[in-house]
Amino acid sequence: MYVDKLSLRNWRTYSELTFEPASGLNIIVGDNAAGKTNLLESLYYLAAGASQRTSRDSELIRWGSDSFQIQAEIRGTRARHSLEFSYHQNEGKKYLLDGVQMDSLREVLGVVNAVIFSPDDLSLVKGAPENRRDFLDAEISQIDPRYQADAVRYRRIVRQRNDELKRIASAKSSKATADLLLDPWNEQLVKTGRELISTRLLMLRLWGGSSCKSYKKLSRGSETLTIAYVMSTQPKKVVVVAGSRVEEADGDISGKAPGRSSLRRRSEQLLSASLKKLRDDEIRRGYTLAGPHRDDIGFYVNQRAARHFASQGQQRSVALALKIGEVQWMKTQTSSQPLLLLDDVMSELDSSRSERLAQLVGEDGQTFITCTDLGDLNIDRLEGATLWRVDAGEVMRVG
Amino acid sequence: MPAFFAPSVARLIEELCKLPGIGPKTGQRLAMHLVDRPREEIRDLADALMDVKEKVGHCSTCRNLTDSDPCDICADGSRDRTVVCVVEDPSDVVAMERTRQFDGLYHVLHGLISPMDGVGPEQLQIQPLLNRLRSDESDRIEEVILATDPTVEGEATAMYLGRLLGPLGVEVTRIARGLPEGGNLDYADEATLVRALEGRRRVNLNSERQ
Repeated sequence: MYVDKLSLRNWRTYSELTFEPASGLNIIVGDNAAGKTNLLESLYYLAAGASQRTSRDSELIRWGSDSFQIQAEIRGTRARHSLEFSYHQNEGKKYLLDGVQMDSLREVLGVVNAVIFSPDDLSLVKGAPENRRDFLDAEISQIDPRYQADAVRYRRIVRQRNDELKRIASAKSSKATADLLLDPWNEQLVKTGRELISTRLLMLRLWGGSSCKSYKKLSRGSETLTIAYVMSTQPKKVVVVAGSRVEEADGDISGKAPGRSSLRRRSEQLLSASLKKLRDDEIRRGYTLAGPHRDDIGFYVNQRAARHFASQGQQRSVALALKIGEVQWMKTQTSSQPLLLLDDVMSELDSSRSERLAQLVGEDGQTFITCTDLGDLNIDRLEGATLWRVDAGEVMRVG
Repeated sequence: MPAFFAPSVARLIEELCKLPGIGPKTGQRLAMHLVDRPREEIRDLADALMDVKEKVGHCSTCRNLTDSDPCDICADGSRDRTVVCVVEDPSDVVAMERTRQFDGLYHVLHGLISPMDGVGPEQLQIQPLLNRLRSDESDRIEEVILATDPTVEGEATAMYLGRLLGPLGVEVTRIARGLPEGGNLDYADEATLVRALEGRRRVNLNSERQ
């Protein structure tokens, strides 16, 4: 899948831009704050329907205007498409596929697939659980519109349920009344929640396998990576999705693939049980304390939690391995190579890591690399690459 | 913005902008249109507005909007009085009536349970529904059809009513969801197909009898 032409209007620092990238490797050079990241962000937006940097679309509008527009000509494996996203401060989002306005985001997700590598990736390992959940949700949504719809629905259920909990607490309702009021939200929370959890487990398992392999290569075979799903319904226990067993494991799906329905059943049991157990606590605190909105991904290097025990270098490798796994996973799921967006990462990586990344870049897909200086790039094969310079809201071809 | 208009026009724009779906631009366009209309036409509009406020009320039985009490539907002796279809608002009654397939009675909730908007069961017309089910009229209600939207709030309201009405010995059903009429299986999105699969029903009558 390739982007043949990208047009931006009032996007971030760009007032009007037409960019016709090459099908292979595009290297984008520019000073700090010249707009390199903004350009990659717009390409990512085409894939995810949201920015990787902010959830507020209004922040993406160029200063002084009231709307933005991203339009792209896409060459897919089978057909060409024209895709357009726009956002207006008063009118909201609009999606156009081949000139036809679509009702919902999920109808246009999957036309473009992209994986972005940026210095912020480290926060996937080091940062708060929210970073990992958002990442997981965004990546799965790119290729699974059903998941995206479920995630939106689930967020609304939790919001309604939290307000119901607060209403029950302030009305000092009897147990029977409280249960009558809570039941409809509990039932929906379990029903939608189990879909999110089972999809996450299955996806993470597929994707974790190649991440673990990549990690092994990055560490020259000396270290192992384990990826686990941490369920908030089962404190201090995790489900291993890829890699070797860890002490905290209460389940392991890294070997034989479990059926979707068995995962669904298991998640449903755990969710129902924890809703029962946490009931009084939740009414007192006014929050839904367990469920996919509180779950996490756990990374273990040599069976020890990477967040606490791994070195900065190891954490960087985990983040990179995770992203490389994502590219492989996306390739198999969509049977086409996603756009690779490398935002200022080459200068940060040591030679073995950038070598591994360069192998990915070498494959026949469309890649965008940004840097402030060509000398920073640890890539040998620059022949065949197209060079662009970003300056003052313009992108010019320089080689 | 209204400051640039004559005070009477500005006032009209402000009033129009209070209506749902009317922003400043539409309000302005409507106001300019009204200013240009003949006096009689404006009088008719004003009369219609006052008339609806004076005449319309809620049917004491089904809570639908009506000029007479009981409403035409509740008063219609030819309708099936054993079935009641529960809907969110009066426009849903209109939608159901357009099908000409349903000849039972209705009950209008005037909203859906939505804690984040401060709406609980007590803000809805649920008590009048319970009264109807408990009353000793000769035509006993045998079935309540829950026809709220398949949104998070519509589902919650239906589930709540299901639990509330269950013990009253009345059959409670939920309208089906799934493939639209004239829809092709291969054009349906995954979510719709999953719903349709969940709502599947038996067609081999023989095995049911076994």
